[in-house]
Amino acid sequence: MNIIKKFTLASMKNNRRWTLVTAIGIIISVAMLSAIATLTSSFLSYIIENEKIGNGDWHVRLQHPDQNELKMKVDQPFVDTASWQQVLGFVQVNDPDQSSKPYLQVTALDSPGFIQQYIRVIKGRFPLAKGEIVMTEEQAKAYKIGDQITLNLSLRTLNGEVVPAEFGYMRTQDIASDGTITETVEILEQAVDYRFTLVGIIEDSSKTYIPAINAYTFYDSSLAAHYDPIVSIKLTPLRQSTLIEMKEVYKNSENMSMTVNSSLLRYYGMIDNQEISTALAGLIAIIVMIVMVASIALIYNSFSISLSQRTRQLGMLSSLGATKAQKRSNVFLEAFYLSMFAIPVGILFGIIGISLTLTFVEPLFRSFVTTSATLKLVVWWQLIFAATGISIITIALSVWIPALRASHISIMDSLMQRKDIKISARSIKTPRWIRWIFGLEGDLALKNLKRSKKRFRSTVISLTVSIVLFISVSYFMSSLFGLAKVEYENTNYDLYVQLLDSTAESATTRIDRLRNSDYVNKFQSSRIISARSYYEELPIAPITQQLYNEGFLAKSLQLPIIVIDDISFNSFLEQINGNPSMFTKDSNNVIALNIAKDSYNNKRYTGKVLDENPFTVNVELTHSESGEITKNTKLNIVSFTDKAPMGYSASMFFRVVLITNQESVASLMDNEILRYDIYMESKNDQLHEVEIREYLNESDGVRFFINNMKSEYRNISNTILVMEVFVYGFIILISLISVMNIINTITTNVQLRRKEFAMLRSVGMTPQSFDKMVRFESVFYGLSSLMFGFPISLLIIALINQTMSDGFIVDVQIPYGSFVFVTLLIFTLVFITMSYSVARIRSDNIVDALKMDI
Amino acid sequence: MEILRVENCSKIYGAKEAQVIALNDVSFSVKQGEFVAIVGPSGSGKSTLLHILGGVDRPTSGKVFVDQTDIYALNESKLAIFRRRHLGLIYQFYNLIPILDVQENIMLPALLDRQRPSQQHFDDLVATLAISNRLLHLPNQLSGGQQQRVSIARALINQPALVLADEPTGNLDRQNSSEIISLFRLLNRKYKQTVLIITHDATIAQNADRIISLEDGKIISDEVRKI
Ligand SMILES: Nc1ncnc2c1ncn2[C@@H]1O[C@H](COP(=O)(O)OP(=O)(O)OP(=O)(O)O)[C@@H](O)[C@H]1O
Ligand SMILES: [Mg+2]
Repeated sequence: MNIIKKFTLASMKNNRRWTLVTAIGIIISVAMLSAIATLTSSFLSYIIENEKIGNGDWHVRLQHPDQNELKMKVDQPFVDTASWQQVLGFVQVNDPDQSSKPYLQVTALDSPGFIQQYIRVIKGRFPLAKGEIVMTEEQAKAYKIGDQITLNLSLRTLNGEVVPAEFGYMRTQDIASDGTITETVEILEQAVDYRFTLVGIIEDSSKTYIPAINAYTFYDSSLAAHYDPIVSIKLTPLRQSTLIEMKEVYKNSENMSMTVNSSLLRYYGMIDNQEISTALAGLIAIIVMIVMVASIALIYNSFSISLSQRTRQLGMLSSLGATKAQKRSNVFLEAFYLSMFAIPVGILFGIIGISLTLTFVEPLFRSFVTTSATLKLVVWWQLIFAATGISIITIALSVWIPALRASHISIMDSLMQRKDIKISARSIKTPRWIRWIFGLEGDLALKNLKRSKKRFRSTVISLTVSIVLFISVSYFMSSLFGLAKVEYENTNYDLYVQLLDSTAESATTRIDRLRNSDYVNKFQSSRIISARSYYEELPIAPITQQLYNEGFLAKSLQLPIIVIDDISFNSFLEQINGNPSMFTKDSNNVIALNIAKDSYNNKRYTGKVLDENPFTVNVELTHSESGEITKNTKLNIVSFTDKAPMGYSASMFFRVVLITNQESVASLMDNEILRYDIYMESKNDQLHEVEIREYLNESDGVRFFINNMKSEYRNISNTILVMEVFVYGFIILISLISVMNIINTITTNVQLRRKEFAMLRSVGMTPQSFDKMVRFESVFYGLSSLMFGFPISLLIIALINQTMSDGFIVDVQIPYGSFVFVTLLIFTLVFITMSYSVARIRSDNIVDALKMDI
Repeated sequence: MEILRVENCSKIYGAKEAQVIALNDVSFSVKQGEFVAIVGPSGSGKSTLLHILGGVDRPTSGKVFVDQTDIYALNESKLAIFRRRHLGLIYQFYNLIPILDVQENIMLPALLDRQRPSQQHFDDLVATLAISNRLLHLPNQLSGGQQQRVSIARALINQPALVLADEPTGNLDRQNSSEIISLFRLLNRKYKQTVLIITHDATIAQNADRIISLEDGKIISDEVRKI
């Protein structure tokens, strides 16, 4: 082994503690890069799987009337696998005016096709022979497995033209010269009877835009079908050039149509996709840059410290005739040895870290995505390779300067301890008031920082980066999610059911039944009477007048009357201390929800809409659908409140919610449309929802709509949680790098000053003074980084606000909480590091320390 | 008047086989205004003794009284305060604080006490030591002899009961050494300053009032001279 290698290894071993610290620095950096790579590949795989489930696992589809022609086309080197399919035809199963899926579509698939299309069998099996069929549960309701089914399959046509199978339901409108509109809709033609045997039940996988529910039979080239056969091809190799070659080959094929599955191929990089690649690559590039910069700061620092501890030896080597290149290679060798160990370990840690994160995040993730794709650990070696490359570049950049410096170390440097010689009186000059205010200890602390300006600066930059990242990202997250959260937090119910019933009697029974569910905590059913009046006729509050004058409001004020069921109304009255005796039959007495929260021109307004004196007002009742005036009447607003009933949060300046019971407005009810709004607090929203659905699905003559706010809120919270896991995870890791850097700098700073500390103690510095000096140093570190960190953070917050307020109205709120938190965190961090590194030195024997030759 | 009394001081380094007895039951006392030289071969325990007298190292056993105070009965803080007020240490390698200028280095023991020494005493001291024109320089801008004079000034600034110097001229040429030694003599005469000085230099020792010889951690002779 050559002498430089020996020397390098020996000095690494000699400085074991420091070697370990440097290795940990490299491991953290590499682990982060590897984590980014793994996360990217896992997410991309997830997206790709999702895409395949939604759209099928194929790359190109060829369609041609002649099957044999197609067969010849497929015989190409770039075709990896080919699977066949053919749409046999459609049969109508629903009324096109009532349903978005009027047809049943029967498609023939070969065996690979069933896999490529991700068709899932719930019961029975896939078709394996001609004439076997699988259908959805809904469509096979009348049959059982093994039954013979005859389907009358046809071709879709519009005005005599064939409608392609994958087109939506076709309607065209012609406007004649006299203005009459004639609508033409597509029809089914050329019906042919097919006999099938039902062999299985599948999950419904039909796409929303296709007007048909899917059923599948087994593909056979001898089948007579209404549509041309299609061959789905998977290409090999997955390169852009393959696609170009393929297009070239199929260029002049007559009668053949070709579909490229671009939404899938773009993820393989086979199609240039501006939006995706720039957005994704941009994001990843930014994150990688942040990691690199932080890592370079850390690794550079480690190497320069380890170098400075070896200055003397390098000087000796130099005096014995080592060349510059030899001295330089000492540093590069050290980096090389460390990398050999730290890079693989870092890569492994990154993968393990993401694997753990994904197992934690997956259940949350699944709760808000609807596909059956799973988010699991996927490692692409290409990306890991790239991460390794970036790590090597990072390390190389970090050791460049230390290596150059090593090559310039001369005999004199090592003998004379250049470090001290470099201090100039100017560079460590401190203002006089420092001594006055902070005493000698404070002054010494400041002079120390000034002496090791570079280290001080790098520590402060590390701290500043952490501060800025933390404050601005948490601000960004909270303002982004705050909006979503606030909306849900203002909701005072868990489940909302809208009922459209046919008779008042049946509605009453159903509502009673719903009210009596065991899951109900709180229940309110209400109906709405749409009404309006005009500002000019109303005693309005000054703020409303102002908004009206400034032209933000129309002439009319919406006055929806919420007619609440008696039980809920009585408890509402109790809540607001209302007088029940006022709400008698046909009294037309109502309570106004007289608090508005609204925004105009990016400004928020909160206040009363109406003057709070009871009054009577003329209103126009309007039809809930057409908006036509149905009746003119008088309403008595007898009381005002700022408490909202369930389902409402506040009024608006253009819309005041009026609340009353059924008795009071019995004569105003429109009984043509029996719409009921039911709001519930639930003991278990999910089971409750299922129960309601089952009950209402079985009922006849009722249409309904259910909104589970609680589960929506849960999903939003989970989404936010998942984002937060990643974002804060990232910040924590980046901060970890900074923390390592700070610990390194402070520890070595203190180590290098051991002798000086001993001198101070030998001339009579007390332990208390010593601690005071160290604390001052910590405070100066903390203060300097806050001094930079806070203004930069505020600036970024302002920028975030600027961009966010384009679309939303956001209250500009300085996140005092995070500022306080960060301040505490920074000071704790610096204090702990300082105390830790000083602890050993404090108990140093003065005489021993003075003898040291650092 | 007795300014220093050493009672049965021993210092033992290490344990068992590796044990080194650096000081072996040493006792003596020094009167105010004495100029004492400590001599002995290398490794005889001179520096060890001086550090123990200076309150920077603890004896394994025995007591040290400076100005009637049992210094090792004091706790660490009290000892530090005692050091800066009553003891002045001078090392072979100056041991100045690199980030403080000459003036601040000299005043350091006083500054640590949050006091300003009398300006006249300070001016007198720096004039005597011939460093008045170097007050605003940093230690690394001074020659070895100058640095040593600064460290002497630092040792004297609080008018300590005892000045202890460990081979103060070991790093200096003959010219510089004799200047420094004359300084010590001068200070001794002018301020009645008690001085203990370790030296290998026979001429320096000849200048002292009293020569204590150490060997293997023991005092082998204690010779009071009349000049
Ligand atoms: N920290 C220590 N650990 C172990 N032994 C020590 C230690 N310090 C000093 N010694 C030993 O104590 C003995 C006395 O050392 P001391 O430094 O007092 O000698 P000295 O008389 O000053 O010698 P010199 O004239 O060479 O400076 C020596 O044998 C030395 O090896
Ligand atoms: Mg010695």
